[in-house]
Amino acid sequence: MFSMTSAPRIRNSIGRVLTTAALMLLSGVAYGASPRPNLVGATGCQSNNLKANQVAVQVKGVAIPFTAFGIIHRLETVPGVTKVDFSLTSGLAILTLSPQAKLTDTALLDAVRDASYTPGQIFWGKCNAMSVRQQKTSGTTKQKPNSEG
Amino acid sequence: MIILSILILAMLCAACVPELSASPLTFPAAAPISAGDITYRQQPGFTAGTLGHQQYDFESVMVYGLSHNIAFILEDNLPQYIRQTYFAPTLHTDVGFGPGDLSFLPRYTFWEQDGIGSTNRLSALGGLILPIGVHSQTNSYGRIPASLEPGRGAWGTKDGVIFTRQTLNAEIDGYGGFVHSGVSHGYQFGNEYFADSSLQRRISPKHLNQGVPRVETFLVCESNLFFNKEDSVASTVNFSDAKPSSAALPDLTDLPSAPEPQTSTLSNSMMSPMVSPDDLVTMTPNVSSGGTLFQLDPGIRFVGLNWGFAALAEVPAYVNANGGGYHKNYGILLVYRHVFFTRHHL
Repeated sequence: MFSMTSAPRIRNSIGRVLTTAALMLLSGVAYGASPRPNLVGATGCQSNNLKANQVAVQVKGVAIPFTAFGIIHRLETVPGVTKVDFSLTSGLAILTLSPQAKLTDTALLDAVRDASYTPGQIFWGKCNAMSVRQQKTSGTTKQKPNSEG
Repeated sequence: MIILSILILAMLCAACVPELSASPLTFPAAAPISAGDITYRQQPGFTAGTLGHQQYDFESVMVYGLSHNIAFILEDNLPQYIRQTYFAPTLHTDVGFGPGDLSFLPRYTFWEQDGIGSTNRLSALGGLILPIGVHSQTNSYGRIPASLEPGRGAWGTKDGVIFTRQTLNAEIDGYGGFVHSGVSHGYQFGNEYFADSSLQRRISPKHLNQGVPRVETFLVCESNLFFNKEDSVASTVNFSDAKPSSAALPDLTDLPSAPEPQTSTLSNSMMSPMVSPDDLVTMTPNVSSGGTLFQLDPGIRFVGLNWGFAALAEVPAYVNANGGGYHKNYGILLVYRHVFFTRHHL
């Protein structure tokens, strides 16, 4: 079937394919190790690691503590927000809301843009009457469910 | 196949190497500033050079975020102390002291690409240099050289483009542009063209956890390339007797030895009252001014949530001063910055 001279060529080809596959596998591992949001859920009230009075906003573009200062204080000025915790690695700002808060997606998106950053997904806390009502009135497009969940 | 393997390997290396993050210290960045925020930077510096040149700067820089992509930058030296020693004809020392000129520089970020923990931005910066600094200072020998005065006495412009890439672990910045200065008291500083770069790498904490670290430490290496054209001095040619006269204008301490009149002609409005209508005022280059300087600035930087502190050494790597003029031997720069949050924004 194969001549004797073609055997080394086939071995070389198999070796190259295996090397390429190994490199691609390692690339995938390296990509997998890159920081990504640790929240499960999507825009809507499906997140399971947020409290009912919390909402998480993904903020893109914040890289150092000095610039985190701006987004933290800008989100704190949004009416109804009582506390903001920010994580540099995940880019997530966790907002704690007052019971009377009437917060909308639009207000959050505007606050992030105002702070000179790019808004990502918004994760609402566990389903409650307040969050459901607010999302219905916000008028923003719902995003796809997060596949990491 | 081999080329493909090399490409994949290169991509793999790029993915595995920790990402190359904080604003540069010797020039402005395109880094984000929230609308309404004010960043205030105070940077005392010391420079020593040839001809016994000593310079103490106390530069203040304020950045105000007007909107998500527009910021205003104000720069000034408050104050500046410059001292230089001459043999002219005997040894004496000139000292310039006082506030410097104020630069008002609007910055517009026209391109940005944000990711989780990273941002790439391009900004254009252009504005005016207001001649509010102290100039026309005199001592027992007359007017001190224009190059030693904190203020230039003339309006100027500063324009440039800034690139900033910030990641969680490092930051790269680049800044290129030029400074143009008008004529004051018969003296015009030559155009300055500059190209700056900055590389900063986080060394502490080694690993980032959830939240925002209280302090991050960065190793910094910046470089500054300056190319200054020769300054120009006004001189006059009187057509009635065809003899050049350079004594008509006051600021001629740096006057070169009898250069040929050339370059631009001053308008009548800029002439000294001592110039007669028969005099033609021309600008001649000061051959002992201008040149090229390339310096490296290694240092360290600490960054907190609303403050930053840095120390840099300025080490000239290449100096080519025209006509044996002054050139820098070394410099030390300390930088403290603080960010204030305000609710006043559009």
